[in-house]
Amino acid sequence: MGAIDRVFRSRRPSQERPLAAIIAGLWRNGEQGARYEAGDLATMFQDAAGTLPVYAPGSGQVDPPVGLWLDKRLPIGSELVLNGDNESSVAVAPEDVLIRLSKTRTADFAQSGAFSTKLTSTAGSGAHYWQLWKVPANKSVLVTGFIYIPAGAAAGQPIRIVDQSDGSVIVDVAPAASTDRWVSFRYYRAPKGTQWVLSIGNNISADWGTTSIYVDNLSIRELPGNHAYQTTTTSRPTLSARYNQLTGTESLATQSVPVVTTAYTLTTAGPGSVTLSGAASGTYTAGSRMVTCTAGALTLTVLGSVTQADLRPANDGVGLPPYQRVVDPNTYDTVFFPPYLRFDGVDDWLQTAPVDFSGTDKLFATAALRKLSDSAAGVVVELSSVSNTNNGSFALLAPAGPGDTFAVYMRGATALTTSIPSGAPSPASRVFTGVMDTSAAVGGQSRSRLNGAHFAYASQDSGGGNFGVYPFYIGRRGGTGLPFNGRLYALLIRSGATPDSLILKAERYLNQKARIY
Amino acid sequence: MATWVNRTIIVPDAVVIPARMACEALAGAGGSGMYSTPLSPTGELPAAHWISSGLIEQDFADLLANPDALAAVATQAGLDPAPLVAIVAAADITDEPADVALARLGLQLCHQEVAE
Repeated sequence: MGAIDRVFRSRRPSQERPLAAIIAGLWRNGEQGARYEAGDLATMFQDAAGTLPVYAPGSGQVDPPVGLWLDKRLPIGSELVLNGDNESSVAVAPEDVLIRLSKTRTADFAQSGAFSTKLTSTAGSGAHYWQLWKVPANKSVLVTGFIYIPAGAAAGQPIRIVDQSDGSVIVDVAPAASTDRWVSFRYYRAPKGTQWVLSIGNNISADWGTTSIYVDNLSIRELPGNHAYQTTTTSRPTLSARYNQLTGTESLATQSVPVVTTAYTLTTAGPGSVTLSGAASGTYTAGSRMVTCTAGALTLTVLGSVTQADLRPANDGVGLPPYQRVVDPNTYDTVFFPPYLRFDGVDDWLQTAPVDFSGTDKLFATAALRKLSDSAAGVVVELSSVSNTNNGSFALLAPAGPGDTFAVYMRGATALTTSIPSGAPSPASRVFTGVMDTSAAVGGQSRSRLNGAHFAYASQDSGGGNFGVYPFYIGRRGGTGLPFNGRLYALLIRSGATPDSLILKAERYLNQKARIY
Repeated sequence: MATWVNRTIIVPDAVVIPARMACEALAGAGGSGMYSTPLSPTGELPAAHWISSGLIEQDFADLLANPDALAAVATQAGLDPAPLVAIVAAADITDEPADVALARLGLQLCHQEVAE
C-alpha cells in the first residue's frame, strides 16, 4: 500500500462516519422535516401500502416503481404486540377485541417456533374481525405477520387488513386462493387525522362457519415520520441507476439513441470503430472523447468489434466509473452508480400526510437533483398545494419556468418571496438548497444555495408569520401540475434555525450520495 | 410479485371522465387519479386529450390489449362492457415513452402558470 493509499484509506472512513452521524442528528431535538434517500433501498416500496419492497434496479426487471418512500429521520416504534410469535403465550394486540371470532394458542400450525394464534369463527353471518389497534390520530402504522388459511377454511374468502372506522382501506393480505401455506403480509398506512380501527379478518358477510385460520409472528409498530406515497400506479416515480445510454455495451451493435443538446462522453474499447451520425458526426476508435450533440437521435454505426461502450452527458456525475455495463434496458451494472428516483415530467409525484411546521418560522430544504428539461416549471418539493398563495409554505423548483433556472419560493403571512438562480441549462445536476426565515430582515428572509455555496437572497418581504400545516408534494404541484422532469437522489428538510456550517455538511452529505460536484 | 410494464395512455377529452371512472373501477386505488395531465396540439388549454404514463401491472396491460378479456372482466365487475371497450378503442396505448408518443400524435403538455 503506497502513501496515497494509506492517506485515502485512513481518512475516508473518519470523514464519512461523522458526516452521516451529523445528518442523523439533525432532527434529534424533535425538529420537523423529512429525510429521503434513494440510495437506501430499505426505505422504498413498490406500492403505497408498503407491501412490496423495491428490488434493485438493473437486476433484469424493469426499474421498479416507488409508491412509498420512507422518511428515515426517526427510528421505527417499539413493538406493540405482546407474544406476537405465540411461543410464550397467545398473541395480544393493543386493542385485542375480537368480533365473532375466538382466539386460542395452538400447535396445529406454526410459521416459526411451535405455536400460532388460531382464529375460529362462530356460526352465523356477518363480518369477522380481530381488532388489532385503535390507531391514534396522526400516527402512521406498520403491521406485519404471517397468515395461514387451511383449504376450505374461512368460506373461501380472502383475509384482509381493514379500516373498520370508515371501510376505506381494504388490503388483501391472503387471497382466498392462497390456502395451505403461510403467506406473509406487510401493510403501511399514512396518518389519518382521526383515530381509526385497524383490524384483520373477513369483512364479507359470508358465513365463515366454524373453520379456523392461523396468524403468527404478528407485529404492529408505529412508523413515525413524514413518509411520501403515491397510490396511483402510473404516477409513481421509478428507481433507477442507469447512466450509460447505450445497450449491449459489451459487444456494441449499431443503434440509435435519443440525445439532447449538450456535450457527451463517448468511451469505447476494442479494435473496431464507431461512426456517429444524426445528432453528431465523426468516426472514433478505442478511447474516450467529448462529443457535442444537438437534440435528436444519435446513430452509432459500428464497424468491427467495439466493446465496453459508454455514452452519457459529460456533466452526469463526478468520479463515477467511466464504463457502465448495460446488457439491456433492464439489466445493467449499478455498483458505484448513485441510484435516483426518476420523475417523468408528465404525471409522477409523491405526497405526505400534513406536516406540522406551525411552530417555526425557519427551515431549510436541500435536494440532490438533476433536471432534464427546461421547457416548463417543475416542482421538486412544495409545502402545501400552491406555495404562491398558501401562507406559511415554500417550494423548490427546477426549473422556475421555461429557462435555465432553479427557484426557492417562500410565502410568509402575506407575500411570496423568490430567489431564482439561473445559468444552469438542462441537463444539469445540483445540490440545491433553500434557506428560509420569515422573521429575518427584509432582503434576508429567503436564499438559495447551489453545490454548497451561497447564490442569492430574495429581495421581497414575506410578511412574517410561521410556516403552516400542509402535506409535502414531491415532483408535482398539488399532484396536478408543474411536473418535475428529472432525477431526485435525496431530499432533506429541517425546521428551526440551522447554522450555515451545518447546512454545508448536509449539502456535502447529499453530494456524497449523488456525486454531483 | 408484480410484473411491471411501461404504458403511455392518451385518451380524448370527450371520454376522460368515464375513462377515469373505469380505471378506478377495474384497478381500485391504483387506478384512481389517472389522466390528470392535459394535452393539446399547441400546449394551450383547453385540453384536447389527457395522458397517464408510467408502469402498470402486466395483467392490466394485457387487458387493455384484449377487448374480449376486458369485456369479460368488466361484466364480472358489474360494468357495462361496451362503453369501456369503446374508450380503449378511442385511446392511444403504447409502450413508448411519453415524449415519443406525444411527438407522434402532435400533442404537448398544456402550459401551466407558476403564479396562480
